[in-house]
Amino acid sequence: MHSGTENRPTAVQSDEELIALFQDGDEAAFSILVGRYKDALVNFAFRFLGDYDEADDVAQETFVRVYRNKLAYRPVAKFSTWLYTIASNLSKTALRRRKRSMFFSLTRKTDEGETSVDIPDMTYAADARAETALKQGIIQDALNAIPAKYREVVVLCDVQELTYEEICEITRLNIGTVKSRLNRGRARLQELLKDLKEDF
Amino acid sequence: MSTEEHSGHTGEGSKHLKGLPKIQASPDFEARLQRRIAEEVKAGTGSGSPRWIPALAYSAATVVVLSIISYYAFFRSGVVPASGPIVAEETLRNNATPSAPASPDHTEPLHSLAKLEDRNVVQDKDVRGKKEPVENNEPRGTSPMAGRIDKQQESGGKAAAAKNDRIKDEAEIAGREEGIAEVPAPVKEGSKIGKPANIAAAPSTEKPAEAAPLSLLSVESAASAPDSATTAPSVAHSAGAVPPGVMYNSKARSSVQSAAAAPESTGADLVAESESAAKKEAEKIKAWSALGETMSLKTSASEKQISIDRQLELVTHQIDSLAVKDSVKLDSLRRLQRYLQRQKYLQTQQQKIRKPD
Repeated sequence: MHSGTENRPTAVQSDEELIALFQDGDEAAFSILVGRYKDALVNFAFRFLGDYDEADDVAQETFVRVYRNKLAYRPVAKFSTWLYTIASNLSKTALRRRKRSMFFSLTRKTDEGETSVDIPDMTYAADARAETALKQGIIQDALNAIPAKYREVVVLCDVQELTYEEICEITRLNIGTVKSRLNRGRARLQELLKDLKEDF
Repeated sequence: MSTEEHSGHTGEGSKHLKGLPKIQASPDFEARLQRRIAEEVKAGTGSGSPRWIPALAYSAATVVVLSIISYYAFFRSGVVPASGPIVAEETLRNNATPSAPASPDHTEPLHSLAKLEDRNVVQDKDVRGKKEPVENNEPRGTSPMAGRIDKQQESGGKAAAAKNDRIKDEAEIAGREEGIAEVPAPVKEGSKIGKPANIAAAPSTEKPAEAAPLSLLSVESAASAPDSATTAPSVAHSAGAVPPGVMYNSKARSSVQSAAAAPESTGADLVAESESAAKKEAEKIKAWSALGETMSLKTSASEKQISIDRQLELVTHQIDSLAVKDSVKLDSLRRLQRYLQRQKYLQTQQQKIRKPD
C-alpha cells in the first residue's frame, strides 16, 4: 500500500496513506497532514464563527483531536471528511459556548428567532483591509447573520467547495436536507447582500 | 419571487462567497500545535482514550463492605438466642457485677454481700422468664430438667470464677497493706448442699469447723484463719465503726482497741485519733468485703460441682432403669449425661488450674 516510501512520508502521498503511517507511529506524516489542512481548517472555522482567534483555536483543537484519536479513523471515508467533521463539531461547540458566555449582545428578530450579531472583530478588519475590507466585512457579517445550520452547509459548499456527498458525511444529513439548507442559506445571504452590488 | 429569480439570487450569493479571500493560518500555527501536543503527551493524556474507571465495580465493592460491617456491628451483636448458654452467660455476667451501691463511707457489711447469691438466683429466674420457679433451699439436680438450670449457673460460675480471681488478688494486696488476715467465709449453720451460704446469718466465725465440710473453700479458709481473729468483731462493734461479721488480725485489733479503750484521754487529739482509726477500719472493711464476696462465689462454685455429680448420678440411674422402648427419652437422657460429664470435666480442669493459687 505504501509503495516505495513506506517509512518516509512525502507530500505526494494521499491523506489516507499519511494517516495510516501516522497510525503506525510516524509523526512526520502527521506534520504533513497539518501543513496540508491548517489553512483550510482555519478558513472554514473563520467563515463559520466570524472570529479569527476562535477559528485558530478550533483548528488547533481539531489537530489535537486527530493526534489523540488517530486510531479512531477508519479508511471508509476520506480523511478530509473526518477532519472537517471534527472541525465542524468543534465550531458548533464554540458557537454555543460563545452564546452562553456572552455578556451583552445585540439581537435582531428573524424568522427562526433571535440571532446574535457580534461586535465586529478587529483582527478581521486588519486582515480585510488589504482586500477590500469593507466588502468582505459586509459579506462576513451577512454570513454570521444567517442561522448556524444554514451557515455550516453554505460555508462547506461555497467557501470550502466540498461536494454534496462530503457535506452529507460531515454533517451526517441526507442529501436532500443538505440541498434544502444550502438553498435557504443562500437565499438568506442574498437577501442580506442585495444592496452590496449597488454599492460596489 | 419566481424560481429563476430565486436561483439567480442564490447564485449571486454563492458568487460573493466564492470571491472571499482564503484565510491563512498564523505562521506559528504548527509550532504552537507541536507545543500543545508535547504538553499533552507529557501529561500522559496524549495517547488513547480517556482512562476507564470501573465505577460500578467500586460501588458494588463498597456496598458489600458496608453491608458486612453493618451486619457485624449492628445486627449480629443484637441477636440473643432464646435459650442456651449464651443466655446463662448474660445472666451471670449481670450477676457477677454487684448491683448494690456501696454505702457513703464504703463500709459495705458482709451480710449484704452474703445476699449476692440469693439475688443471683432471683435474677436467674427473671431472665429465664416464665420457666418454673426453683426454690432457693431446694436441692438441685433432682430432675433432668434441673440440668439446664445448673448449666446456666455453671456458665455463670465460670464468669464469676474469673472475677473471683481478680477480686481475690485485690483483696490479698489490700490485706497485705492493711494487715487484714485471710479469714474463712462464714457459713450458715445447717445449710444444705447446693445452697449458697448465708453469711449475714452467721455470727462471724463461730463454729468454723462445723461449716467447713459444706464447702471445700471454706475448709481451706478455716485452716488459714488465725485464732486471735475470733474476738475482734466484738471490739470493733463496741467502737461503732465495724459492721458485724468482720474480723481482724492482732495488728488491726490493737488499733481498734486503742481507739475504743481510751475513755480517760480527753481532748481534740483523742477525738482526731479515734476518727483516723475509724477511717482506717473503714478501709479495711472495704478490702474485707471484696474478700468476702470472693469466698461466697467460690463456695457457690464448689457446691455446683457437687450438684453436677449428683445430677450425673441421677441421670445415669435413670438411663439404667429406663425401658429400651422409650428411645426418645433415652436419647435425651444420654445427651444430658454427656453434657453433665463434659461440665464435670470442665469443672475439674478449672479447679486444677486454680489449685496453684
